[in-house]
Amino acid sequence: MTQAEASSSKKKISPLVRPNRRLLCLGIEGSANKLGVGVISHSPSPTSKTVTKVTVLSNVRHTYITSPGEGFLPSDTARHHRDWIIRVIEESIRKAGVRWSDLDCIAFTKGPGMGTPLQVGALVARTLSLLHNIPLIGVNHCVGHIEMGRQITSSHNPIVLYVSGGNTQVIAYSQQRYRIFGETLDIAVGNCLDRFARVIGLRNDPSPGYNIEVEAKKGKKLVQLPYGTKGMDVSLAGMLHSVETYTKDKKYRSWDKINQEEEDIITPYDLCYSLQETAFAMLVEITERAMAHVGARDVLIVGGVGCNLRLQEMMGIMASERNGRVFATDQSFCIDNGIMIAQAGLLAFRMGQITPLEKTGVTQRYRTDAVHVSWRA
Amino acid sequence: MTFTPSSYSHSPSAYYLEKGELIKQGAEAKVYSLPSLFPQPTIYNPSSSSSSSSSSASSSSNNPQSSSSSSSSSSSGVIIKYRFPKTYRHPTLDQSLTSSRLIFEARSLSRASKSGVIVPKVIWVDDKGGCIGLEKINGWSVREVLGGGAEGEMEFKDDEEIELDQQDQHDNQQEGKDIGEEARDIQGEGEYEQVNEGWQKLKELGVTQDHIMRSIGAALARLHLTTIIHGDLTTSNMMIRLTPENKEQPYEIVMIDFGLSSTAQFPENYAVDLYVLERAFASTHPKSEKLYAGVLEAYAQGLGPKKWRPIEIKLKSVRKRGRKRDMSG
Amino acid sequence: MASMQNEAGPSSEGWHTTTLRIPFHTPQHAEIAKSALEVDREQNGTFVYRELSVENDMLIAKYETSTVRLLRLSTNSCLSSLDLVVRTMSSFATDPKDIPKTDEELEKFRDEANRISGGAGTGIELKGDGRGAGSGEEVK
Repeated sequence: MTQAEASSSKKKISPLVRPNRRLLCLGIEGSANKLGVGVISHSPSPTSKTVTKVTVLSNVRHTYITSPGEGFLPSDTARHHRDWIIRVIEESIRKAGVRWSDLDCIAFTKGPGMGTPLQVGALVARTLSLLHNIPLIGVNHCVGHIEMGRQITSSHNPIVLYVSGGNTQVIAYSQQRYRIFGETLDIAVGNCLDRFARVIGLRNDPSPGYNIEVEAKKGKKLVQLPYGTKGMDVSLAGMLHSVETYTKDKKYRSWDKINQEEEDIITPYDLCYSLQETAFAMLVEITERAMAHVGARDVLIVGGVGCNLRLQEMMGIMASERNGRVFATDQSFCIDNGIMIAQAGLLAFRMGQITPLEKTGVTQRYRTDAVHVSWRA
Repeated sequence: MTFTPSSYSHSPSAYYLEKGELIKQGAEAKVYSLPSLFPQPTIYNPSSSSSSSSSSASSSSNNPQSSSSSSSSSSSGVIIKYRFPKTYRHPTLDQSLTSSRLIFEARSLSRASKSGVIVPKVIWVDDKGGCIGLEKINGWSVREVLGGGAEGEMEFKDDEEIELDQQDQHDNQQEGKDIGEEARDIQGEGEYEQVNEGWQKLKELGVTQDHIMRSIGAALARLHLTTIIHGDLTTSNMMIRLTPENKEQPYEIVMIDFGLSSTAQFPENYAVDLYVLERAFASTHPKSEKLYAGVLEAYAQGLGPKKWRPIEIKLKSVRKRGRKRDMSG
Repeated sequence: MASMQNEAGPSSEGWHTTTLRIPFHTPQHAEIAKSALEVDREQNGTFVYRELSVENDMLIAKYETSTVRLLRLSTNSCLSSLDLVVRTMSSFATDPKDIPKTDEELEKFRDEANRISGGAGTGIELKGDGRGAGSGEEVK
C-alpha cells in the first residue's frame, strides 16, 4: 500500500507486521477461581496480504466451585489450581495437536488477581519455559479480556466496560495505553452481586451472578437503593449494604416463607431485581458519560458480569440511542479463560515484548493503564 | 403567534423546547438555545397611533418561577437543559433521579452565585418537565481552548488498524515518517498549536496557558469555599468568557453543568472533586498533565493553607486508592 | 551459585533453620527448578531468609526464620511449589528416549481428544464477526 492509499483510506497503520509463518502461543490463566489454558495461533492469511488469521486451537478449563453461601479463599483456590493445572495443560496441548517445540511463546497471567493462585500459573509457566526454551510473556488479565473482545468483534475503538468479580472499570484506548476513565470507588460489581447471592443463600454453581440474574426475572417490585454515581466513577458499597439490610426488613419474606396472597411484601426476587436495575443503571450511566466525553459510539462489555443479559440489554438501549452498538455476546471474552491470555501474549510477542525470567513474578495489583500497548497505533 | 394551551399543559417547558435550537446532546441532557424566554418585543412606530414597546407585561405570565432576571440574560441568550427520560432505566428510578438532580443543580447554582462564584444564572425551573433554563455563556470550553477539540470531534477515531505485510511496512518506513505523522494528526491528540478561535483570541490578549490554569484553580477554590462540590469536573464543563470591561483580567472562568453537584462535608469529597478533574485532564489531554500543577497551586492559594492541608492529604490517598483498586479477580 | 533472597539476618540470632535437599534427574533439571522458584519473593521477607542453590543434581533450599511458625509456613509453601515443579517436569519434560511424534500421529491424538470431551478439531477461527470460540470445555 502506498502512502497515498494509506492516507486516503484514513486508516491507522498498526505497528504489527503480518507474520510470515504460523505463530503459536499457550496461555495460562488462574487469577480467580477459573483455571484456564488455551492455545492460539496467528498465521498469515492465504487470501489477503494484510490479514492475519487468528485461530483458537484449544480452550480448556476447570472451575473451583464452593458450596452455597461460601466465597472462594486464596489458599483453597491455589490448592485447586495446583491440583488441576497439569491435567488442564495436558488436555490443552493434546487437543491443539501441537508439540512443545512448535510453541513460540508461553503467556501467563501476571496480574491482577489473587496472589497465591496467580503464582501457580506463573511457576508452571516458568518451568515449561526453561524446560523447552520458550520465551515467556506476562499478561495483564484485563488487557487479555479487551484484546479477546477486539479480536472477536472487530470493533475498532470501542469504550470498554470491564466488569467482573474483582474489577469494574470504564476504559478507552489512547496513545498506546488503555486509559481508565471511570471505575468503582470501593467494590467491583461482580463482587457485589456475589456477596449478595451468598447472603440470600443462592448456589455458586455455575456462578452466583448467573443465579441472581435468573431470580431477578421473577422480581416485581423495585425497592429504593442508594444510587452511587460520582462523576465518572461509581460507588457500590452503599447499595450493597442497603440491599443486605432489606433482608432484615419486616416486609421481607425469605424463599420458603413467601405467601402468594400477601400483598405488600419484599421477596428475594424483588431484591435481586432491584439490585440489578440499580447497579446496571449506574454502570450504563458512567459508560455513557465516558462515551460522550470522548465521542465514542460503540461499547464492548468484557468480564464475567458481561454475560448478564439484562446488562447487555440496558447497554444496548443506551448505545442505540446514540447510534452506537454494544458488543457483548460471546462467552469467550466474558468468562476468564486461557485463550484471552494467549491472544494478548502473542500480540505482545510479535512486538518483541518478552518478559525476562527475573521479571515474571506476579502482582495482585496491576493497573490496566500500566501496560504499554505496543501492538496498537 | 398562537398556541393551543392544551398541548402544553403537561409541561410548560415543552413550549420552549419546541422553539429552541438543539445545540448539544450530552449523556444526561439535551441542551437547547433560545434568544430569550420572553417573546420578542414589538415596537410601534411613534407616528402611528398608540403605544410603544410592550414586552414585559404580557410575558410575565409565562415564567412563574424565574428568579429576578436582569436584561443581561436575554441579551446573551438562554439555554434550556432538558433531561430526557432514559429508557434503559427503570421508570421510577429514572423519574426520581432526573427530578432530584435538577433540583440540586438549581439550588447549587443559586447558592454558588450568591457567594460570588461565576456560574450561569438560573432563569427557569420545571422539575416535572425535567427542564432548567440558564443564562447562555458565550465563550469556549476549556477543552476547546486546550486543543482537545469540541466534544465528540476529532479526538476519538473509530479507525480500523490494519497490519501490513513485512515488505510494505518496510517501504513505508523508508518513505519517511510521513504516514505516521499524518495518522497522528488525524487523531488530533492534544496539539496546542492547532488553530482554534478561542486560543487565538486569548493569545492576542496576552493570556498564557499557565494563566488559564491558575484561573481555573482560583475559580475552583471559590466554589469549594461555598461547600459545594461540582461532581463532574471536566474540561468541557468549564467555559472561558471574554470580559472586555474588566481591566485586570480579560476573561473569566465560568463553571457550568452542576447536574451532579452536592454539598460536601469532608475533605475527602473535595479531594475526589479535584481528582476527577485531574483524571479528566490526563485522559483527554495527555500531554497537559504538567500544566495541571498550576491549577492545584492556585487552588491551594485560594483556599488558604489551613483548609488546603487536609484536602491535600486526602488527595494523595485518593490517588493511591486509584492505584490499589485492582483486587482479587 | 547461591541466590540470596533478602536482607533478613541469618544464623546469628539463634534463628530456626531447615535445609531441604531435593534430588533431581539431572543437574540441569535442578537448575531449572531453582530458577523457577527463586523469582517469587518470600511472603514474610523480613523474617524469613531463604537461600537456594544447586549441588550436582541436588537442589538445596535453606530457610532461616525468626519463629517456628514461619519456618513451618515457608517450608510448607516451598514443598508445595516444588511438588508442582516436579510434576510439571515429569509430565512435560522431553524424555530423550521419546521418539518425536509425526504430524499424522499428532492429528490422530488431537481428533481423539476432541471427540471424547468436546472441542473443535482443527480449531475455531476468530474472524471478527462477533462469534467467539465459546467458553471452552471443562476438563473432567
